[in-house]
Amino acid sequence: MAKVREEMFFFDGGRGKRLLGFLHAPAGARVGLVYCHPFAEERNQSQGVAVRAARRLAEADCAVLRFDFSGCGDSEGSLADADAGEWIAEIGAALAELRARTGLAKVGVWGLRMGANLAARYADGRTDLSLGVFWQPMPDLKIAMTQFLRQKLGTQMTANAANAAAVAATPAAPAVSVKSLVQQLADGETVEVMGYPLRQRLYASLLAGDAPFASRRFAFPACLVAFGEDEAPPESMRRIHEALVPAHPGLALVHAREIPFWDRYWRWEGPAAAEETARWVATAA
Amino acid sequence: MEEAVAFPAAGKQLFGILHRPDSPARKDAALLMIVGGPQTRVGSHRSYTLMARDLCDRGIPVLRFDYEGLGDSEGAFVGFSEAGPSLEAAVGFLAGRMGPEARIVLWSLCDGSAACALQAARWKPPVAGLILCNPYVHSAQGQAKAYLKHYYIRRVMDPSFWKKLLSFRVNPVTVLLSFTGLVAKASARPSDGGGTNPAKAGTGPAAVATATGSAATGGSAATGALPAASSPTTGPSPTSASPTPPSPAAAKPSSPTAPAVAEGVPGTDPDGLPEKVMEGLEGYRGPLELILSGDDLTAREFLDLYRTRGTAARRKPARTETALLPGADHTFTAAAWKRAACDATAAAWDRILDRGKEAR
Repeated sequence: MAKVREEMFFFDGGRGKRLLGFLHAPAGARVGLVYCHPFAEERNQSQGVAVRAARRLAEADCAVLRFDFSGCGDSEGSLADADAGEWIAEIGAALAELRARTGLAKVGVWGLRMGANLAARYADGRTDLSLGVFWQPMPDLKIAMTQFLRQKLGTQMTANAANAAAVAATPAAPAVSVKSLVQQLADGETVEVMGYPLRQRLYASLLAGDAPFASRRFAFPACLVAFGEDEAPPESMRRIHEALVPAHPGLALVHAREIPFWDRYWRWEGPAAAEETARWVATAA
Repeated sequence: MEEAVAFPAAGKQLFGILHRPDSPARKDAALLMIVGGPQTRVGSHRSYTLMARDLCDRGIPVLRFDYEGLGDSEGAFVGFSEAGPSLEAAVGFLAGRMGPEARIVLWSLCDGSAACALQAARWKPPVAGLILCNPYVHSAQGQAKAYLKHYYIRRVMDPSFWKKLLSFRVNPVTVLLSFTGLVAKASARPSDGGGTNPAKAGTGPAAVATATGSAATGGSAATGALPAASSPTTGPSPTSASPTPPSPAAAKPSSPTAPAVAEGVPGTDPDGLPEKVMEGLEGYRGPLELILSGDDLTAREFLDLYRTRGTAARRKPARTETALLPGADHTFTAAAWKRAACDATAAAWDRILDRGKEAR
């Protein structure tokens, strides 16, 4: 097994912003990836799998630089002040950091959920990347933000034996809707969702610069990894793949036969996805 | 100034962030943040990152780190009850950075506090004192009692509960079954299974936290359901406010709709956890500060046990200070609760270190 150097450091993400980076650098690395984490609590919930997958990739001679976007994780700043355009630039800064620390010429992007969408937005049309791995990208970010805001809403629960006590004990929820939350953002308010402070700057910039994932154009070998226990990959992923294939005949669709891990805690092992990704990277590199 | 640091623990490399204030409030003193959850050093809603920054702004140096097997750290996670080596390594590292006159205050949350209490015999200088937030002392019986006493019965007094019942938004039969089930559990003798069952998946902080949450998310009203006490298959809610993470059903329509089951937190609760935690605290002769959230069943479970055992009295002459944060949930989800927790922490820090100064 190649010896892997691991180091954690702060680096300049542009505009003087200090971003937290963690590098897995195998001695015999031939290719490197910058990992773009998903949004809000998904970053926290998916970290166990991401770290283990990065270590698996490093064992397969692929260097990985994981980093936190500004306002996330241990990077500088507050989510309340974040901007998607700056996040896109930060991917570029992370790639430069990966090149500088490893000397690698062949580098690419790897993202999960919204991280995959942001990685694709960065990589769209670029000719200086060598590969791209996209774990369960979303069709577009409007869906992502609606899902996120919906978490704040009081829910109408159907009582069953397990929930009965809790539902009965739940105080009356305020009557809000996603639409009203979007209006609050537009009015300049901070909308706190599960402890994450969202403001209009980030919300608007995520949506304004977005395009359907299926409309992106990659000038490098790319791989979609879909998660699901069913026989076939989830329909949304199949649709994305079908839409991209005409412009990307070699686009791989890998099906990791396991349940999603980014929406729950303490699911740290994602062996199928890590193995499949390592295998694909070895062929693409 | 934040510094990325690494230090060894039992042959594994642990990673953390050291927050160093420009103008430290006190020479040679630092706070070690022992996270709960089990979470990474960042925590749900960046709780530990944000609170460490707040404390650092108040002149308090803070080290927070990932346990072995969590976050960026190497190794395999073995549960909070086995976290002794990680904690000892972190204390040693921080003390080394602060110098020969180092005084380290241990701050902890949830099962991090349980870990701290279980290791209490280790805590000699440079450890100057303990600040425990919402300590985890779970037992099926204790949880059921806390649930009934502090949550369910209070709600029965609330007119909105009757409104729901009478408008058939809840099934009265299932409510009654659930209530009587809780009463039975609360009345169980320890030999009847009132204690923890290490063989059951999800009996760690995860399963407890599913019943603690005020599902209040950042000040909004309760969302999502709280499960019956001690169900091992309840949602994998961590020690954050939200009792259930975004369900697959709420995700894009084509996502698999796997049920949100508890995966089972790695590492199991030791037998007799509540008693062992209390014994640890009773035997600890240094300053002890408690910070307890007002809307947190874990905190209530701890406080009930603490009072019925008379732990405070057994610790005489060493006093215990207790700060209550009204309305706060288990992990201080809302920004206002984080600030309140940091206010209480800063006050506790001063009391601990002033007491140490007097003693010298």
